[in-house]
Amino acid sequence: METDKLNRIAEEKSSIGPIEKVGTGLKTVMRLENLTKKFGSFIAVNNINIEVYEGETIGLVGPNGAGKTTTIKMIAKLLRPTSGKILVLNKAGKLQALNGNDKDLVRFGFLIDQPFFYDMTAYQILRYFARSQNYQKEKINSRIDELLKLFKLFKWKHEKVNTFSKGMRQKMGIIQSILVDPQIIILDEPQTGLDPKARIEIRATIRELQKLGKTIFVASHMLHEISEVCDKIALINNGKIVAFDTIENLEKNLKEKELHCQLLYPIPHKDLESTIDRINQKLEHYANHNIEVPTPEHNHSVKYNPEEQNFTIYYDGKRESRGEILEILMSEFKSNNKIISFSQPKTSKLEQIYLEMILEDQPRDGGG
Amino acid sequence: MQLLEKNEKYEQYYLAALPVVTTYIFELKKQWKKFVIFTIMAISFVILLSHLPYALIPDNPLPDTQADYFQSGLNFIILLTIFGACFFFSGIICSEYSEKTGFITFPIINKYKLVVGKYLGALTLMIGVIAAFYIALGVLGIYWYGGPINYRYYYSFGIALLYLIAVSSFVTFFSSFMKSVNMTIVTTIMLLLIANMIIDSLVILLYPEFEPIYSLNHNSQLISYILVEDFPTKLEDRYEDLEFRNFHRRIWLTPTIEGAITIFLLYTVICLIVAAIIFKRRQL
Amino acid sequence: MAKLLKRDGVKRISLGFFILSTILIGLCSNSMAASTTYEPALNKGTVVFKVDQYNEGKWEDTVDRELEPDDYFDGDSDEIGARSKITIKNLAEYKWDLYDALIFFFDVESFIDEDALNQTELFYLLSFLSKDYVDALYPEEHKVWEALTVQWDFETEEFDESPDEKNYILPIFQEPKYYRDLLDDYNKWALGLNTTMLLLGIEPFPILDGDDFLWLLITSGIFTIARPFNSYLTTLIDKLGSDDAEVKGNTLILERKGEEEYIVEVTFSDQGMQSSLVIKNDEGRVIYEIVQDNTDTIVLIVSGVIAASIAGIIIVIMRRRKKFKQ
Repeated sequence: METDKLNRIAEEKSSIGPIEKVGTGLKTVMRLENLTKKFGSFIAVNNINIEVYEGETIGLVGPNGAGKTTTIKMIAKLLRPTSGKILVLNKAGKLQALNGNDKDLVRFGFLIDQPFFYDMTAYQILRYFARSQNYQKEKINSRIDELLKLFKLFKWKHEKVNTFSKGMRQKMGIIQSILVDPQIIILDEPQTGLDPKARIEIRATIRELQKLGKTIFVASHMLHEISEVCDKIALINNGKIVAFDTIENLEKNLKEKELHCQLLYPIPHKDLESTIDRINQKLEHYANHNIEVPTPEHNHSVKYNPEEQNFTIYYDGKRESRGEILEILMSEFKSNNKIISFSQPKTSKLEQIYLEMILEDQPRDGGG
Repeated sequence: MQLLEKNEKYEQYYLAALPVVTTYIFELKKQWKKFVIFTIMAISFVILLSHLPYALIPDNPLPDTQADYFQSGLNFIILLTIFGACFFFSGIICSEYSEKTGFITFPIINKYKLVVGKYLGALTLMIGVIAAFYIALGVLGIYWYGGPINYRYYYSFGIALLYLIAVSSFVTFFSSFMKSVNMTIVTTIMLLLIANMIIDSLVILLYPEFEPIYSLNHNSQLISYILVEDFPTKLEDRYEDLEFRNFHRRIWLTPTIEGAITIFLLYTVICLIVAAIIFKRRQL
Repeated sequence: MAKLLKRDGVKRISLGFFILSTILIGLCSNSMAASTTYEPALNKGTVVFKVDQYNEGKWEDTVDRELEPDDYFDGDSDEIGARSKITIKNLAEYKWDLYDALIFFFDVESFIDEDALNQTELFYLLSFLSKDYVDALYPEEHKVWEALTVQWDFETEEFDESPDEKNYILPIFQEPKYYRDLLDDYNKWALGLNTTMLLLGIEPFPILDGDDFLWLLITSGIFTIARPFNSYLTTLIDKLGSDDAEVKGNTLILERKGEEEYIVEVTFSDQGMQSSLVIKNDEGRVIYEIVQDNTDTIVLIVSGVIAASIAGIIIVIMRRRKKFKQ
């Protein structure tokens, strides 16, 4: 499967060391270095390396059980890493490892899973959170009102949180995470339990926070929900980072190295194997040996789909290769069959890979 | 210059204490209703058990003295302390994990400070409940016997507080590793009420001469027994032997004062230290 | 649903309180049968008495040159400021015959000086005092409300923790005429004893008239009456035939003759106990006075403070809630 190949590549990458930074002149606010978490023999997070720059919005995307929440819990110090380091910016402007003495670190805002709250009113809870984190006393009330209005919870300011719906509680969770105006905001599945309208609101809020220069680290299993607000996406599966780059780069890399070729008639069954072998041999020269090969067991760059009588060809992405491949195929099928279409796919390969990851993985215990 | 340093130091202390103080105040607000319910319960039980039976039933004789009255009235305090401690302290640690509330919002605050704030808040409220019980019984003591209140009543209050701290530490210890608040409540109530009694009975049955000094139940008897005018100083005055044919059973009336205080303190220290270690190691 | 559950909870609590109240009221109503004419006013609790005034010179000149107040009222009752205390533990209905009165009222056992008696005299005297003998001759029983008490004698210091008298009985006869009946029986019994040949050598038991008996009751410290007080006292005086006694409201006034004539005024509290005893000379000057030291004030003060605290807390909560809602 595609993802296995991706995993292998990611493994090779992470063993080299920290992922290289894409932008230049940006300050690192958080770095995960070879972060690993094991529960007994089970590896929940496997040697993760992520660098987060100031003002960036990073999306950690993976199916359930991929290791997202475990990673975030380690950042929140709810779990201890088995090995590796988490470095966070401190008030002096330097990176500092998370340990017992964290009072010098910049302010964090956290939303983990679905938040539950004490049996108190929204106002009482938010006031407590703000006071505990030494938020300016005289500004607390106006800040609470501002956020409650922003998330349309102002009407329920003095109502018990336990009477709130799941979505309202989720909003409360987001409010508490940004309440004290933190520099780094970490959100785990912020859209959970929210209706479509509220999800749009969350995205809008994230954009607002981006405008304010906040660094946001958001984990989700819904790629389409966060991809449009994230600067970078880290695809995580089985505890490993499968891919980590800007969405544009990831999509470009995947979409432009694939070709679809539609035949007029199906290839007869008796000729199928010999035909594919022959085409494979002819296209060997154009094959992409990085991430695109979907059938690692045969290591072939051509995949034939008999029901739809089409080929998917994984190639090196060069413009000139595309013409030569077309010529080879045209000569191969000119007598007893005909090519009726030859195209590059329009849909995002990123989502396709992600979909496969979700389908092939069973949810595991121990959260995301 | 010195003033500046002083100010900085003050600010440091202020910042260090802030999470404890705010959590303490929040805990008071959070458990306020529970406090009111328990206080009403405490006062109601004092009235129901130590007043109405005397006020409404003319035949039912009052104890001879105020101290005797307090002694009989204080029997309920053990039950109240156990139930109160279980309800107030069971969520100290485990609720944070089961409901993911407080700790997740404070990655950069020392979580011990939050637990200390919660513990002190709950303790203050429980002291309030116990004090309400003592005040209600004290007022009734004055009502029936006139003033002043017997000085040993204050000793009893002190011992009741030590007992409360020991029981609350025991519950906190369970809260440090149990998964849910309800489980902690049920388990600690079962242990403190039933299991303790069964263990004590077994020990007494197997080793009739052995004083169950380890037992919170046994040591809690001091709360009421301290009111006895001539507190027994000799070992043989602290128990009664029951003989029936071949059956022999020793009933312990009271522990020694210093023995009970030591055991309460030991329970407190050990339970809190172990709870702190488990809490440090506990992961979500 | 939550509201419904809450309502159910309230219903259950109300039902619980109703059942409990029913049981308690039931217990209460079954516990004591009331007399048709009189009813006891005595309640459980503690009453403190204090020697408020004592003029030793006048006492010797007017009341008694040989005996001091402590010979009448025990303890340190000859000291101003000395206090005594009585705790009423319960009240139950019993029947008294002469034997009970001999022991508790007339305190005949204190008359027996065993050292001054020979074997025969002691034997005869004890047989006169035996329950079987007294019950056989004087079987008549009288209904009484009996209060079990513990008592502390007059002391100038703080009270000891343990009382001086435990399970001391304080009787309230359901009818004042029973006092007359018992006095008559006693006098008969004393006369019989005093006229027994073998006991002629011992000091005779006093034969008492109504006034003496009243004085005995007053100094015994256990004299308690039933409601309505005025009617009870008036009937009592009438039945005893006390010429020197009169009743004003809840006060019994008794004229006595000691070294000189003096007046004893005994006022009864709303519980029917002697709340004050004043001994005056014929000029109306107080020689000796015992008053009730009212401890109710302390209870009222403490209760007031608690009630005020609770009210304060409730007001604070209400105000804060209002503020929040705004």
